[in-house]
Amino acid sequence: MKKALLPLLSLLALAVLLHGLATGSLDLDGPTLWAGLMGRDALAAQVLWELRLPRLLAAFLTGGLLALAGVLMQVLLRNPLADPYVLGISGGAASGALAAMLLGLGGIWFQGAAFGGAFGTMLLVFALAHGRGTWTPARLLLTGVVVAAGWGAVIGLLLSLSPDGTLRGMLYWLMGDLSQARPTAWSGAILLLGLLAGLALARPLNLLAGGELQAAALGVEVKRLRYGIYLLASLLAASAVTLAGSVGFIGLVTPHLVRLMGARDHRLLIPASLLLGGTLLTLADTLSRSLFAPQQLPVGVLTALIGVPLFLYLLQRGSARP
Amino acid sequence: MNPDRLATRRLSLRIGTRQLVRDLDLEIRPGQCWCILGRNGSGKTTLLHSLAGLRPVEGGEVLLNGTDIHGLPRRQVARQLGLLSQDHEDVFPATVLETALRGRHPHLSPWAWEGAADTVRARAALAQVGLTELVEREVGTLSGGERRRLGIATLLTQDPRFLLLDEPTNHLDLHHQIEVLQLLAGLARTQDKALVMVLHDVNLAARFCDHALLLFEDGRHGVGPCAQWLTSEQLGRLYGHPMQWIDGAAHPVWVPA
Repeated sequence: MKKALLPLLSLLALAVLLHGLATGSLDLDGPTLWAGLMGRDALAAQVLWELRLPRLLAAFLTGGLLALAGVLMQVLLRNPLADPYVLGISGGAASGALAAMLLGLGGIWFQGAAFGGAFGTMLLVFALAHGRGTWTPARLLLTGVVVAAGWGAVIGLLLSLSPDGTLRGMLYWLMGDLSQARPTAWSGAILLLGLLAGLALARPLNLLAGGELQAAALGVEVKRLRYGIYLLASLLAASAVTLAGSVGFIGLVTPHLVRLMGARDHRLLIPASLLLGGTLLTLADTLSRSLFAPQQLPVGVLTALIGVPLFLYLLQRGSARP
Repeated sequence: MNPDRLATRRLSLRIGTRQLVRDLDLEIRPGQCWCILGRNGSGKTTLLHSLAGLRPVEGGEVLLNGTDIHGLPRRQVARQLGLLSQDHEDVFPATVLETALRGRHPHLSPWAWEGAADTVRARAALAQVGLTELVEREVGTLSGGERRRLGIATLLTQDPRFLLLDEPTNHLDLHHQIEVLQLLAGLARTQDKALVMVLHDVNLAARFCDHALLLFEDGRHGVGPCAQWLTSEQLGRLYGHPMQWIDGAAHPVWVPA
């Protein structure tokens, strides 16, 4: 199972991408799909190249970013319940994004506001948690949770101040919505950077998972590693929310799903989580635009609807093993 | 050039306003087996962590083979010096073998995977502490004593010259206490390792160690051969309770009077 995990997940990712290309308000059969991809069917080509493929890629990127961020946050905080948003990153991004919506800003300004909110929160939590010297996982977690609660109040304030016309867009953004998402070169670059850095740090991460003192005793520069993964996880999470809003569940559950599949070594856990996170979000997004087509659901609703039963099933099966 | 030594020069340790150790000069050589004795809160663990370079010191320095340990890269330190900490934190799942293999980390280059030789080493270490049957078990399912022996196996897999152990007999039954200490003391004799152990059992310390470091309540300390420091008088002073020496059995024992 362990050796076959990455090839299996790659195949699954490919299958889900193809399924996503073929499915939607206009279902395409095999030959039409092929003709569209080759550019021989003008309508299909337009749907595929201009609508579906960019959106699928954005979904895959977002899912991968979130899953990677989740793996890193869980080790950093040494807490299996940690997710990419636990330190307030998504709250900061949402406050920025909603303020931009309220002001009627779009495009790059909107994205800049979301990313700025996320990254600013990262710096704020870091500075507050760091204090004078000591920076324990518990202190970092508490600081982040409290800052996140503060952002929750700001979000509530912005929602109550907003005219009805913009509320729907805001709510969709808060639940996570890929309908406006387009893949960008920089988010792809950040995902690649996250993967490579994660793989380079994988063995130290295994040790950090066993406790900071033990990791240091075994030769890990713990302080430097913690700063590194905090920065990396924040960057990944900020990129994800900038692309698609606060998509929940993927970042929390994907690492556990992969662990339940037998991959606990970060050298395997990191690439496998990226693949599975991307696949899950792609599948969820395809369902979100096809289940009640032409009505589109926010993808965040679907991630939990798929993720919860899948997770519970694997948990039951896993705990039954000796 | 620099013979293998773990030494301190005028080492001072403080927690808050409390002076735990003042001007400690210590030299630990391969082949020696040291015990650190003292009451609760006397600074045994703090001293052990300081010797491992895992906390800043309040004065003086810790020297590993003649170099200030804080000036050395952690990986280089970990190839020569290992620590068994008092507790184990297992938040994420792992098997017994995976956990033991973590000991190889300082010896592997950053991108390398553990090879067959590393696995052989880890399995041998697990066999030495009697965990052969459990190599594929989840760490979370182990008993306290089994987890403790796994920690010792990880340290053996790391294979450093200096082994620092914080209460290695924690959670172990009588049989395993003797077995583990025999194994560890044997390393000093046969493989020229140096051991420093925090122990609470004076009789085990007297039986297996040759040097003692006593941390007294008032911040003073005693350093030297066991014969010099493990006496009824010094132990009585150390624990603040009179100790009685009973001769006769294969190993003489102290009991609180």
